[in-house]
Amino acid sequence: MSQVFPKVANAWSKASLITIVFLVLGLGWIVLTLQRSDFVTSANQFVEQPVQFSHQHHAGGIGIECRYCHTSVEVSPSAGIPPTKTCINCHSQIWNQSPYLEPVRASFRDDKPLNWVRVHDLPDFVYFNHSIHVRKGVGCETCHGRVDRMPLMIQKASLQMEWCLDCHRDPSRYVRPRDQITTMGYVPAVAQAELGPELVREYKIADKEHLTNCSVCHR
Amino acid sequence: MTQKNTRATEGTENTDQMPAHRSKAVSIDLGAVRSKLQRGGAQVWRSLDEVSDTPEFKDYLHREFPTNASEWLDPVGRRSFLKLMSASMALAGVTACTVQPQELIVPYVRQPEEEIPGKPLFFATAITLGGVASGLLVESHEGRPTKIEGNPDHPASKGATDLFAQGSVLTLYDPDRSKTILQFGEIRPWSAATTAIRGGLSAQSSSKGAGLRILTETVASPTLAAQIQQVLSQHPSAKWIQWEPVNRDNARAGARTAFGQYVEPLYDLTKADVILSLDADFLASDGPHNLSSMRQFATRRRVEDGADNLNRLYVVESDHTVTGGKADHRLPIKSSQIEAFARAVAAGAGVSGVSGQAPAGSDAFASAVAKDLAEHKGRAVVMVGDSQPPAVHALAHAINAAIGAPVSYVATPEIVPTEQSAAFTELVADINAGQVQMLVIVGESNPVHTAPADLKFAEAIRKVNLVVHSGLFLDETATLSHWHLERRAHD
Repeated sequence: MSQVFPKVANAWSKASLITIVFLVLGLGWIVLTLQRSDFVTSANQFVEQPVQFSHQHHAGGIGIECRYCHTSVEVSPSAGIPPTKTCINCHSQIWNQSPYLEPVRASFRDDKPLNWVRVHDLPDFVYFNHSIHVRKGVGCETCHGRVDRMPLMIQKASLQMEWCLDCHRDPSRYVRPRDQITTMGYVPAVAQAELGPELVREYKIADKEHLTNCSVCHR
Repeated sequence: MTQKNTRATEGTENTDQMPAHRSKAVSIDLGAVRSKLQRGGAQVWRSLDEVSDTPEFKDYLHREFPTNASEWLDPVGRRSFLKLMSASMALAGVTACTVQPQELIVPYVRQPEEEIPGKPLFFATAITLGGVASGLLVESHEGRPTKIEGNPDHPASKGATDLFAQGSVLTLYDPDRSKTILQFGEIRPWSAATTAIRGGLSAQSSSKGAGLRILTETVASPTLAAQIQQVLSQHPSAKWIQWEPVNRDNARAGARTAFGQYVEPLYDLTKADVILSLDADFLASDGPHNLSSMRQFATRRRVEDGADNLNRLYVVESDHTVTGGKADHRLPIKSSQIEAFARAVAAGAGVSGVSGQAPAGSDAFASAVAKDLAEHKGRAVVMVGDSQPPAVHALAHAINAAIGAPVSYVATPEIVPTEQSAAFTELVADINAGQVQMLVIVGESNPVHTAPADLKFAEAIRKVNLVVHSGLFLDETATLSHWHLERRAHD
């Protein structure tokens, strides 16, 4: 009886075994990369808003403080989206004829709220509180990025759990003095490696065991 | 034998045949059933099917869920069922593989003062039940009330609430709440309503309001009472009737018998070593002071630091109540026997001029209670439930006076105390006599639905020329009124 497989089949079978290993590894790599990609996390993607509001102009250019509009960031879980009245404070005087601002004027005139589109959308099963982060020295910029350079608001961070845990495992790498919370482009006065642990002590930031407890966020 | 009889009647037209509760009608031999039942002895049965004991019924019982039970025994049916269900479950899981839907943020146009997004605001308010207000705090999230609790600053409740106050948050979202002014079911503006009411009132001015009646719930609000009395001062012949289906007439009449005037007894249970409750569920639902009663009672039930000041609670009642469950000694007797029991206790506790024989079987209990009350002069109290007749209330007042109970008598919470049932009966008689031209109904008492049927209020109300109803709901009374004005609660 003649041979069923030619001699060359040995080489093919060896090669295909190796290929299968690489295929499995490659597939795993694709899955891991994809689920961290902006496509999945919605990071760095522009979202159309009802009003062409520019943080770059208002926060960066004019230098309006973050808390002028986001009033409840220090006292409430929610930083607060300003009521139309806050826009009208200035825009009843300046740019009060601008066609760009017609939706704002219409909202104020008709008593109909503006419908902003949420950019930072955490999953509903996670609890987040702005006030405690601000109180413990986490700056706006740390999570939201250089808002003063964003013409349209984008989500800078992935908002995935590994991103949260990165800081919760060792906050000393990110905390800053409370008087620098709203500073954009903050540079620590002394090395962060020195300043961080000192602030963690001063602000009584809880230890890693507490900060990484599941029920801190998943309540 | 039964089976044989059943078989004999099968397939025949039987006029006695019962409509069976399954698709295939089964005839029952009623003759056999009768003879079986006449045999006597202890027999328990739930249906004629069961007592006739047909093979069909046995089969029915065996399968228990006749429409679907066979599915699990049929291999083909079971497989297709599992296939369909697993496919549905798998598809339901696929819905998770989507990007989060876009969410909108809808801020205020003008943010109310003190409102902080993400933080609840608490509003102090009050709810009335039986004319007695209790202080509440309402938790509100961005204008939406979510939870009602007692106001800790309220001297009586100290932050506690009862079940009615807890449940009242749902009233705020009740889809049946009336939303607008109606005349015969048609929407009308305020101006039309006020014109109609003014017209009705001016027609009454010549007779000084002889044909005007105002029907309210029990009013404990000084403001509302003052407003009504202002109307009455302008129309001196008009009458104001307070009426609620569950009222405190018995307690009021009892107080009048004992004191010659309407008074409200306030018991200080913190000073009571011995408490006798005559059908009074004062720890749960009876009376307007149940919240403070609970708290006061509990202070004498805590064993802390070896405290030796526990109170003793006797409950004589005709029902199972929370208070009865807390009793050290509980005597269940008929509600109608409680007066006799109270007389026996009064006689035993030293009330002069009262004699009586306790109901059969409760002699020992009555004499023990009377002895205990008499031995704790100044530290014992008798409480009576609102459902007991006036005589029992009067007896309790007499006992409390004899034993020097820690009770103070204060003015009633209602501004103008009345005996409501008598007043309401008089109103219906006046309407039937044609003396009432204008009737104003305020509140949720809904007399058309809740008044005693003998009074035929639903027929009487049709004889009035102008009926104005103001209430939270478009209820039976609102439907029979000419005008319905929507009322607001809490907000």
